[in-house]
Amino acid sequence: MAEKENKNRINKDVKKIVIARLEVFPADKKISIGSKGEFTKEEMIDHVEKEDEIGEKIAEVQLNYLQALKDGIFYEQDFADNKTKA
Amino acid sequence: MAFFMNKILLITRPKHDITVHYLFYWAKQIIELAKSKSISVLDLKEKRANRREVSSMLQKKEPLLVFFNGHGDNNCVKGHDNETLLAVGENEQLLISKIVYSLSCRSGKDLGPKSIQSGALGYLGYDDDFIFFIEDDKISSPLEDKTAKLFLEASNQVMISLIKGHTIKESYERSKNIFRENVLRLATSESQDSYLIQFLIWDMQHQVCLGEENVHF
Repeated sequence: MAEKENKNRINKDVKKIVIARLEVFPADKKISIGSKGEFTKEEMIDHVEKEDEIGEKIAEVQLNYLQALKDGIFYEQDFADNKTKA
Repeated sequence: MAFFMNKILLITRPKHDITVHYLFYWAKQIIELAKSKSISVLDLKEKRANRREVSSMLQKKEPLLVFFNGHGDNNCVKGHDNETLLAVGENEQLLISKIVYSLSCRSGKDLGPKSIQSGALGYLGYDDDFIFFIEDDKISSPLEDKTAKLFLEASNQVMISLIKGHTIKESYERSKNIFRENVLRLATSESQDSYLIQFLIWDMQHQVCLGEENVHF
């Protein structure tokens, strides 16, 4: 199977934000992304730089979170209920 | 009596890489809980987490509850050395009349719905990658890894609730509640680990519960 095109898969500005956010991750922990493997902070940054499948997934998770924040996820009823319980 | 005889849990636990090594150990607490409730456990671990053994156990022992730990994709779940155990269009009918929880990536996307169409009672899993973090110095003792615990404690809550007799919908909600509790704990503390929140929310949002909501083990 031909290798998937990996150029410009992550918007340039998004890439900057994602990498800036990854920079603050601790160096002694690794992310496990299923069968894709386990990656250190530096490896995550490298994958985002390369805009490959793993980098794209890391960017997708971060954008998903930023969107969730924008949508007010912490003000949703389920989170409010959990807060009440605590 | 028939109901009692059907109280069988089939679990697959491959251990061939770091990710499944973690799932292998974290699934032990589920086995212990099941045994404490007098549930028969068919533990297909390491090399026994293969297609032949899984197919045979599903057909001969007819477990009501099935817990897959391993890698996966939209249309399949995998076992030892990533051998495909179940796949859409091949053998998803083996899940007829079963409640399934798949702690694997993506199988909730296609395999889950197709299994329900084929007659599975319930299918819980994830419709995208299941992501978690591990501590470098805890790889040899995964149960002591407090970072992984934030994710795996929440994901295992599905099985804990099912074993305790809750419905699939309740088990799904209870798992999501643990994810939320962990998110809130990180968000409201001075922890340096707040970067984990986005990944906990990811897993929580991609957990799926398919089938008849009131079904229970």
